[in-house]
Amino acid sequence: MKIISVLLFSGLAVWPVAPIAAMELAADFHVPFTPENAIIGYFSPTKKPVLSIKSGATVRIDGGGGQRWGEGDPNAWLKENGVPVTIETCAALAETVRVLKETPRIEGITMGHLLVGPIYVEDAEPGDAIEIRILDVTPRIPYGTVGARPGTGALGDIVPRPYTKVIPLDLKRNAGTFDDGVEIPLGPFMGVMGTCPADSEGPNRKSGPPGPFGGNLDCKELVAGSTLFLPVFQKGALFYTGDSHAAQGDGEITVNAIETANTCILQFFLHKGMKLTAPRAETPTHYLTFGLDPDLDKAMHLAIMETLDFLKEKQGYDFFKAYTLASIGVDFRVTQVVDKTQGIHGMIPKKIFTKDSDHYWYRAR
Amino acid sequence: MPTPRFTGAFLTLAVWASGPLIELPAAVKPDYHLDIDPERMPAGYYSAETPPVLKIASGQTVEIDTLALMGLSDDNPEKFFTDNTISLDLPSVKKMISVKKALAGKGASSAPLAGPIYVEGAQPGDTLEVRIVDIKSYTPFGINVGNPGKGGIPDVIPRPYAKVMKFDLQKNTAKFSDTIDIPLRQFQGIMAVSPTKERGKLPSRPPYPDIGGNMDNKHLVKGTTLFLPVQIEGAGFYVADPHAAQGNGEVSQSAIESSNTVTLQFFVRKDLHLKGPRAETPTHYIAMGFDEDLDAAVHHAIVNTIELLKDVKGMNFFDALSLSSVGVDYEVTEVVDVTKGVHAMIPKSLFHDDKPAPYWYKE
Repeated sequence: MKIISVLLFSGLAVWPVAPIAAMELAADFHVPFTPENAIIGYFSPTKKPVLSIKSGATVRIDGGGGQRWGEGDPNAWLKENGVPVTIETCAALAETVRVLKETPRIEGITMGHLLVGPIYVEDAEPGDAIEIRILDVTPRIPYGTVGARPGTGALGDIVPRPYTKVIPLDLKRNAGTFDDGVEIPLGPFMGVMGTCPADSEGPNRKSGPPGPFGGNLDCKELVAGSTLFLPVFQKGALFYTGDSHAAQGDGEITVNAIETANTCILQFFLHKGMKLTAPRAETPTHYLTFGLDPDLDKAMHLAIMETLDFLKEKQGYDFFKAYTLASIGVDFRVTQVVDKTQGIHGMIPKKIFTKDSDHYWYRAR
Repeated sequence: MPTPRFTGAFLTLAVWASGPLIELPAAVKPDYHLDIDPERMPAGYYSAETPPVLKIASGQTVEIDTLALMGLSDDNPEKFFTDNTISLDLPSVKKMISVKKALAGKGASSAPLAGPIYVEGAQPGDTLEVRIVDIKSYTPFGINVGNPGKGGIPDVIPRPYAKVMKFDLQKNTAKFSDTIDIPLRQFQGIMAVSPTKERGKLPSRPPYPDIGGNMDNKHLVKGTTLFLPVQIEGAGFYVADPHAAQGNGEVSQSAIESSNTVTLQFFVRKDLHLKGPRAETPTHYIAMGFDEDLDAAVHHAIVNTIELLKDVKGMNFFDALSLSSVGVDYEVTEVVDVTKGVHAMIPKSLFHDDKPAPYWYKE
């Protein structure tokens, strides 16, 4: 009955009948989304770690999100948008409300990404790298939102007024219902995954622009089954994550993916002495390199240089061989153009390496 | 190369809505073959005043040999082949050498233009639909080059270089090294319509946001359709710059440059009015943005995506914008042709209520 009334109400939204699937993978630790575990809008080198782990540990981290109600009443907003849950019936939303209310803020940063952390990785020192295997990412709420506002995003000069769209998520079918005729395949990922930035970035580095430490990479490839490598800048690495996305296109042009609340299971490995100048990633099918800069041309330049470094390291190539291969076999894509520091990533297909055997940890299910 | 497989006796052009019904035989036999004629080859520019090399009717198909002459010197074009242990007896090699010699000193580019082709009935304001029916490698080898001051990292290149790769056309791969094979996906770097007479001679190196040109878009392979806005009577279509494979970005300034034989079918579309190039593949719609600044190129590509979604799917601005953010992928086309390119890949699979899309090509 509830479903029918929702359909009548919203006109186009098709809500999933089944409840959101609970996480069933086991993890060594669980970090719930609480005001103590959360931090909003910045990375702090001094916040007390929510957890201290050894290399190899798996951690389930709950994220928050979905709070498009702004200053208004959450339940009224949910009802108005035909979302078939309330703050009382949806734990992730209740946690989000509580975090927004109780998490301490600092002067100048009152809003921003809902982050969780830091997680302290034992023995990690500046000059090392941590490997983050993304074992699972699953939305915790039955919807996501995408919006646009004048003055932000890639078309900030054209967008005439603020706009929000609520997208029901059907996890059984792995689809977001955009409208009657359009469905978005879901690829849940965390927009923000980062080590705590170096002191040179300032004491409370805002989480908006990504950097060498990762952070708000907004890279749609970082779904379950992918691996992210990040350089360490602080003792213990101090890993943060947040900014739950259900799906996104390369570019993230309005400044929004399908913004939702995810729970993720991550496994951390410490690599002593693995020196990285920028994040790198790996999927079952590709190696990824990143170029980050406020200017997209420069981001492209950096992404090419990172790609050459990767190919030189992997294959022992000289400059020319790496450069040639980057031109004819590597795809450069726009990661995002909306986070002040923009991103380009290189997609290096594994299949071109005919003699490599596949030891990657994840197999597509 | 297998011939494109057509399903059914009729193929409809319903892709851009309200298109005419077109009847095609089970396999397309080209109506014309356009050979390389060094005497009639425009030297590196597009112009409304260049006389057509061929006149065709809408619906007709033309097979065109396009040559990549990169790496060949004017005074001794044979040297390239002997240096790289490529037989001088191959008919395609003989052709390349004779054309290079004929073009020597004429200022023609290393990828000479074929065209213009006059398509009867095409008027300014119409759209030229170009179906890429087939593209085959014309030679079993290709070359990639880079030069200081050019490409995606012009400040870093220490000296000019050239790398020659041999192809396994059975496996459709290029041998990059003992441990690396590059899958071949042949396409034409250049496809353009003539500019208006007022614009004079437009150099063929950069792509243009209206007439197309050196787009270097790796998705324009066999089975793809390119739509170009007609500027002059007869359209004046050019094709050149054959590639065997390329990554998005084309960062070294070149792809695997390699001669192709391309079969194209042309339709004059009176019902379509475009401002710039668009494309369609069996799986995606493609919108494009061009600018010397990559930030501006992304901006244009997004605006053109929204226009495309409005035209093809009847979406309003906000829905098209948010769909572009959550469901459309923006890729770097190239950053090496002075004017850079970004293209949007719009998956057809997003539109689940569509009747099975009656696209002309099936994979």
